[in-house]
Amino acid sequence: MTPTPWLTPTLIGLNVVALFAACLLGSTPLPVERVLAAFLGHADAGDQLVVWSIRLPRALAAFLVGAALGISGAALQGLLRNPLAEPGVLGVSATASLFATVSIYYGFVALTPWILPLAAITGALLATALLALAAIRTPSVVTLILIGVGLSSFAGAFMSLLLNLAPNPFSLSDMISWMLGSVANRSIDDILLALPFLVAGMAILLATGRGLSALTLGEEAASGVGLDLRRQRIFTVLGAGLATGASVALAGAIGFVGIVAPHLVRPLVGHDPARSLVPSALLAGLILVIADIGVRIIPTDSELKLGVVAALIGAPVFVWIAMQRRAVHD
Amino acid sequence: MPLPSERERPMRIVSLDYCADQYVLKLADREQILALSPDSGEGFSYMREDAIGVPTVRPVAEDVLVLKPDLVVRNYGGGPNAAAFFERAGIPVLQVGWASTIDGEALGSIPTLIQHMADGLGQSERGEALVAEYRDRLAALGDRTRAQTALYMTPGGVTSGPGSLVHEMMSAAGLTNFQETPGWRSLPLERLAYEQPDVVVASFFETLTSHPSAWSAARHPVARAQLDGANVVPLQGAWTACGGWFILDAVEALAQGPAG
Repeated sequence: MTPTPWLTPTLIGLNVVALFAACLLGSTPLPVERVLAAFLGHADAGDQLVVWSIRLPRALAAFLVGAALGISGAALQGLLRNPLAEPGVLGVSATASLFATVSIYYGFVALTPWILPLAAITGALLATALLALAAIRTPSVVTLILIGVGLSSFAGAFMSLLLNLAPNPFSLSDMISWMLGSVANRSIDDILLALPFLVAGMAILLATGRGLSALTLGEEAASGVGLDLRRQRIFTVLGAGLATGASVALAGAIGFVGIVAPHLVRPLVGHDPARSLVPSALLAGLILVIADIGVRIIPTDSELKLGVVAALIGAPVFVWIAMQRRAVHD
Repeated sequence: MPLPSERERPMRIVSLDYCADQYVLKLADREQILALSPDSGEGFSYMREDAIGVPTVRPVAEDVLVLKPDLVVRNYGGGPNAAAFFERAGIPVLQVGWASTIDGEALGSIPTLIQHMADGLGQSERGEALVAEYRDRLAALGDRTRAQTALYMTPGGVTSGPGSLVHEMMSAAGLTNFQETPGWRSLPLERLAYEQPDVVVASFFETLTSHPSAWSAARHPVARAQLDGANVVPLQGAWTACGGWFILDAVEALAQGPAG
């Protein structure tokens, strides 16, 4: 049925290899046998701690964030029928990270740590809902991207305001991390805090993926074959908002993976949005795990931020996709 | 430009940052002070109690000039061009140098810095007295050669290696720095999984930020475990936020060791 049945298993295999490779790297040189022993639970306490508490959570965080952004990107591209739609480009990540930062700096997080993912998700949902509303009103994909750019700039302006008012250099560097995106020093606690929302968002997107395939026929034809457009929009927005918001709570704003992964996957799944969801998530996860390995081995004085590397790779791809579109359409 | 002590005691002193505030508050008479920096009353300002009631001014050229100061004291306040600017405007600038050693006669030692500041503020005798007191307290610590290792920790998740004033403080207190790589770096999480320092020096945990940075290594469970032990020596941010005699409070706390 699927044009490329090997795609998903291959991606899963590659992810396992990449996650294991990420666990091999670190400031303490650990040979493969010791890492394996730590995984199987019969290494000394130090090795166990390094692998299970320090290296694996970081790699897993990179994977989960990538997966959430990849699936959100694929779903939004299906819903808006626009290959340039993506949480980063459309300002969803920026809004989420603004909300997360506000929740921290105005002390709301002191009430309960759950405020952080909830705030990020609220920001993401608001932005996604706004975009979906705009998408209903305007058929123009260009207008939609421009609205996203506007949203992104607006969130950026508020973020700059917070930076401007930062009480000390420590807060400043913290806020910048929210904008740049990073999985440095992530622990299991951080992952557990974001995981419920991440899983819920991805599950909603998977469950409602079929409707996206119908949408490729155009909205009227999709309604004709019995798709409830309103319901489809609401669920895709909800799913993408939850997944993106949770990913921002975990790692800050990381752009462009949500655009690169679905773009690479699409030709391999016969341009079917529903079938592109899982491979896009896996590929985006793989990209971020590998990018984070890169971040850790590139010998810069202060560690590069994951989001910076992702953007350095992703932004040119974005431009390339945009230019290709121009050649085909318009 | 000749320092004011060679002419007469400056009577309209404006201080541009909290580091300069400490010296002005400690060494100058209240009548000499026109204004302090807005940070003078903050938690990380050692002399904050003495700063109560003294007017403050933002380190903005205009706001400072309009006060017609006869001496501007600064460490970093006003930005990198401030010293040149005020000198052009005919106002002498007393620069608080960076302290890099606890004791000694060389430039960059705290006693030298104290005396330099006291001379500039027209209070040489007070400076000599403060240096004498400082050296007495330092001598009272004695020659300590405890072989204990100490890890410096901040809420930002950084630690400090050889070459920093923190390292010098540890040495003066007879401790060996757990961090062997020079400079300020992220906490060595992986190394902490295998080795434990004898003493954990927890600095700034009570001031500056109420919440550690979301990406700080200090939030990691491996790092948090360090702070739970009975071997923690908390240092107040005000003791180490700037180089001065008050660093001795930190050195004494370190020499005394953990309370538990």
